[in-house]
Amino acid sequence: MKARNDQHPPDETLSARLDGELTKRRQQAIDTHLADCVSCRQRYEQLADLRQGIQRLGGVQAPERIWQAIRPAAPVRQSRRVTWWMLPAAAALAAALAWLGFSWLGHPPAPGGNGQEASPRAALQAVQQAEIEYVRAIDTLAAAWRGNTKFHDPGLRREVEQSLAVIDGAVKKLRRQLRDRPRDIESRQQLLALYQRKVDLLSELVLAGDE
Amino acid sequence: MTVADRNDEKRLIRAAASGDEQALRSLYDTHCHRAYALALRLTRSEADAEEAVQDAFLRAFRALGGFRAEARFSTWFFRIVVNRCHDLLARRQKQRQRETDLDEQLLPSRDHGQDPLAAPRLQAALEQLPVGYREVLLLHDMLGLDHREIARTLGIRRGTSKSQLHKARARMREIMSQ
Repeated sequence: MKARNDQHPPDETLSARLDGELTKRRQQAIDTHLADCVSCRQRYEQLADLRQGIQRLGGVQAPERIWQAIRPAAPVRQSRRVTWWMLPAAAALAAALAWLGFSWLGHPPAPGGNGQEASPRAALQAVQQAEIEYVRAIDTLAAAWRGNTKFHDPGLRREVEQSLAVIDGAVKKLRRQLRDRPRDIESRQQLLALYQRKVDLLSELVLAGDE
Repeated sequence: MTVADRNDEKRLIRAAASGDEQALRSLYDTHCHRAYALALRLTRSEADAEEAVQDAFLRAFRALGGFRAEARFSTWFFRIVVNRCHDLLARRQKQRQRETDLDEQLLPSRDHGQDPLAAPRLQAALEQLPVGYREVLLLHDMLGLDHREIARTLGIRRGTSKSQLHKARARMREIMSQ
């Protein structure tokens, strides 16, 4: 569309010029006209001021009380929620903690025991039994996480698998140490902490995908 | 929005959809001021704007699981804000009608958006615009949405968004020149 220099473009055209929406040729024609026509230049400047004025209207701050009203009703995840997959995992964890408690305190697990300090061999057996229970709990959690289709992101999956592999490597090392020194309390505490870390990590993942 | 920004937004939405409070708060912080500014201009009342924004966030948070990641959150969310404002305005109109039927002298005056930031002439001119023009003008010039986003937000064509924007500015200039 040709804009002759003696034609005054309507506001809509000037507005489109302001946003750079006109073709190059049209824009040149309008600019030539604006250079010559005081009244059109004035209208153009008024439109530009108007655009700035509207932009400034966006500078308001939402009051904090809006979030305070939203927060109690927002669908925030609870830190621990009992669901179907937790039951076998929880049972296995309880058993693991019982066995580890025995190995630390030195009491025999069998009913009717005489309360004497457990032998290194019995303590090692307790740790091994606790490990079996822990591994059972971890397997349940890992199966619940890996089976969750909500975790589509391969990057996230890889990150989690790497974190789990690091924990597994440390567990393996500690188990070797404990085979040589079954009464090493520090190594047992580290082992428990590692198992717990793995359980926590998997629990968070399953909870995140279970919503 | 860059690809990295888009990926960050996707991650944030995924976390928020799983109920991560920090992610929900982060989404709120990113969009609350613009949403409030929009609601304030559309409803012309601080109380209504707060109600609209609060309601819009709760609706959005509860529906995050079904949010399509290929769309921008802001486009989807502003649509909810605009719809909530429409609902509130309709409700207010009904209330006003009821009040008019009663004795107006006995009723307290309503809050019509005492906004210290708004230039009175600009606000008055905005109020005289047809609703469709006002929405496009605010989404474009105040919130910085492009015509594609406005078209998605308001459910109109891109060409309509452009044409309404230019008509809205022309009308505003005319009103303010009077």
